[in-house]
Amino acid sequence: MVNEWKALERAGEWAGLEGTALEDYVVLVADVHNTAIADYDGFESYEQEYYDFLNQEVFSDERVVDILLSFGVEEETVDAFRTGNVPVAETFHSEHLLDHSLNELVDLIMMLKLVERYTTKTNQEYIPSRYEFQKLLFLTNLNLKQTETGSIVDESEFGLLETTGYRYSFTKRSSGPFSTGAYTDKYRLYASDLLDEEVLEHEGTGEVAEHEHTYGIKLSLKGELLMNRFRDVLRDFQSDILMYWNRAQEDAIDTFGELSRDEIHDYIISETDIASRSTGETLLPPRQTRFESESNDGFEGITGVVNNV
Amino acid sequence: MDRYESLTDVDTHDEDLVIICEHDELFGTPVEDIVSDIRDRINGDQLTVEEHPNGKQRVERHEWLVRHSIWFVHYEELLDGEKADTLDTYFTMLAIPRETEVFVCIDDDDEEAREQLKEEYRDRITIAGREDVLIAQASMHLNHANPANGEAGKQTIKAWNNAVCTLLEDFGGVNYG
Repeated sequence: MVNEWKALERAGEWAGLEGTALEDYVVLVADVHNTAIADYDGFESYEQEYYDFLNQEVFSDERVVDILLSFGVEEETVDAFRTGNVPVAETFHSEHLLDHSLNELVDLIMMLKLVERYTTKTNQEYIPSRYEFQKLLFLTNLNLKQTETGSIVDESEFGLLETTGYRYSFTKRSSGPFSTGAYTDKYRLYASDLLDEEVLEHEGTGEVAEHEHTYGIKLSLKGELLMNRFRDVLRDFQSDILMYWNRAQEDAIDTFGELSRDEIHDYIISETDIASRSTGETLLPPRQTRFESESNDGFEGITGVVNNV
Repeated sequence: MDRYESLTDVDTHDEDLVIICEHDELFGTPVEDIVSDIRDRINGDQLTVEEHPNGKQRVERHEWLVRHSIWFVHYEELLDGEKADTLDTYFTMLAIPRETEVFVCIDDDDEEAREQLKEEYRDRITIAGREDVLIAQASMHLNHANPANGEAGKQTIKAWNNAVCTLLEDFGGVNYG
């Protein structure tokens, strides 16, 4: 977790402040914060110690309580400030949760599930690199493409990828299949503080943007909180569409999670025509169908996660 | 730029602040005056801040830009300025450490721009709509990532410094695609 000081502003938003009132509050709490922290004897670590400091030394300050009262904040909320009981960690961690369209959201949630499943299944702290991360997404969609729909009259060349799977297009790079869209979405999860990346080795894998170091990927504390809180919902998808996708992803993790990069590379060579393709050519198209919020396709689980948070 | 191996390497720290806007002026005030007000609010004497104007002209020099731990960006430069695509690429390619604090200044009450920035960049940026708010936010940040704040403050700076070293090694000679 970084930039914990932003919890001050989040607490104001939690109190219902917005616009000019929120800005006036920020200016005031900055003064209170800066004075109080100068008198504090140094932090061993941020997170909880810092949140306790905010409650004891900043939020409960008389000037902060007064400004909340002047803006007509509810008495119960003001009391939380006055008594130093603002749920700082919760307001900080849940802010800016993904408010994307359903179409994007499903990919992001499935990406989080990929990270969680991998680390649980392999008993490792991280997905070991951006290389494995990209290839597992690819192999999930490849699994779906290779799964027949069961339709006798209308079998699609895309298999189940016709209706479910990631909406990422994979192109050929020197590292094999790579999706810029997936890379961008991983960034969005990182920017929302749901995923963490750490340098694990001072040697790259050859993956895009992984030339000199190898980056491990894991759920952040906030990501873990999200997945834990909605574990049941996310485990038991009501929708067949999501169930097949989830199954394909779990199969990919179970099959390739413990394999070496060379073994994954060899599998991809054997199962695709990548060897005969040119760099930049599309190897695997995205899911063909768009998910619509209005279509009631059984996405209650996914939308429920967001609505509840 | 060298890696910090231990927290004793962070007993003091010099913060570099880059300004990416048209005339090195934000909210109608010269940025140097704003930075001066921020300096007055920094606790202790272990942290210094030096501003670097003309960042807009050097946006494409990633290896230079990324060494700045605080950015003041006028919102138009991020949304539709001539270097907007380059800045956006830095964000989406994780070419800026998460510990780097990017303050985006909206000086004309453009609510549509505020919503668009929140949508696209979320927690990676901090939006300031007033000069006193910018000063407040930046001072809180600098009293947080501050060696005077004990091990936690030093650890924050160490993490930023080493993340920049890693990025310089990874992205230095590589394109972003």
